[in-house]
Amino acid sequence: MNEFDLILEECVDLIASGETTLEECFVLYPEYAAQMEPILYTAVALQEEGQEVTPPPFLRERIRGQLNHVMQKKPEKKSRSPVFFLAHSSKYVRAVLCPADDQHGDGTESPARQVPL
Amino acid sequence: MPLADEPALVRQAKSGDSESFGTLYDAYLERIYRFVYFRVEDQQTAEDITSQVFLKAWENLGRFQIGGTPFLAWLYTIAHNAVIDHYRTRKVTAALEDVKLSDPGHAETVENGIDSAVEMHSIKAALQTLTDDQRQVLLLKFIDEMSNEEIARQLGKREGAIRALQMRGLKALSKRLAEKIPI
Repeated sequence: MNEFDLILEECVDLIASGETTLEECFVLYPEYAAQMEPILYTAVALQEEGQEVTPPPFLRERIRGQLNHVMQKKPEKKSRSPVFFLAHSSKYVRAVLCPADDQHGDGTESPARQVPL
Repeated sequence: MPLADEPALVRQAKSGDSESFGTLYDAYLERIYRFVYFRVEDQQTAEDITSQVFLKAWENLGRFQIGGTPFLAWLYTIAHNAVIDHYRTRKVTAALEDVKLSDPGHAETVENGIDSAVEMHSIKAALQTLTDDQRQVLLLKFIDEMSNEEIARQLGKREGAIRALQMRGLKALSKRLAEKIPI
């Protein structure tokens, strides 16, 4: 492995772990900045775009419902609570179905309240 | 980063405590979804497979050994196998043109606009042009936030091989993304 690859690898690992930034790498190794730029930008883009991906809000409750159904079908694997995640699910249901009472500020009901459970 | 009290939660979940399993589920849903999302062709499939992962995890908790593989790593293994089963069943090949844009209702488009969805599409499409090993390493490193050591363990390869795949994959991905930028 040549020097450029070693430095590139070091920068990629540090950026991936959050210990440094793209700009700091360019400052540290200005002689390789131009060469590293497209590759480091790709690494950052992959990381940032990846972290933007989150499950849709309804998915959390949907899977809860499915798990609850499975748990209730298997009596030998008893749950302490008859309703799966009762303590956890209530806050998520409220967040999905009941955002701020008057979201639009005009007295109309928020559309989220109309989404069936 | 695993939960601080994960061994206790897993022990309780194994004995049938759904609340404990719920805590594990809440902690890891997002990471499993992300893991699956980048390995399948569309959001609906990602949702379905994510659901399967946690159902299988609950069903097979008895087989999980505390003190061995971390619980998240075990979930990743279930997710990996579920993705493989999906492609084996569907006989879907991951071609560049098969990668679809995210559903307009998906959180990433709603929150970040069309530009972000287009960029995600480009990245997903470009990832499909890499070799399987290169794609796996980049996803595990940058999406699933694993260290090189963890990736090596997950894939059954030496750490040096992981580093080499990472570099080759990044260079190829960078070149592919640059080719798609309009002049």
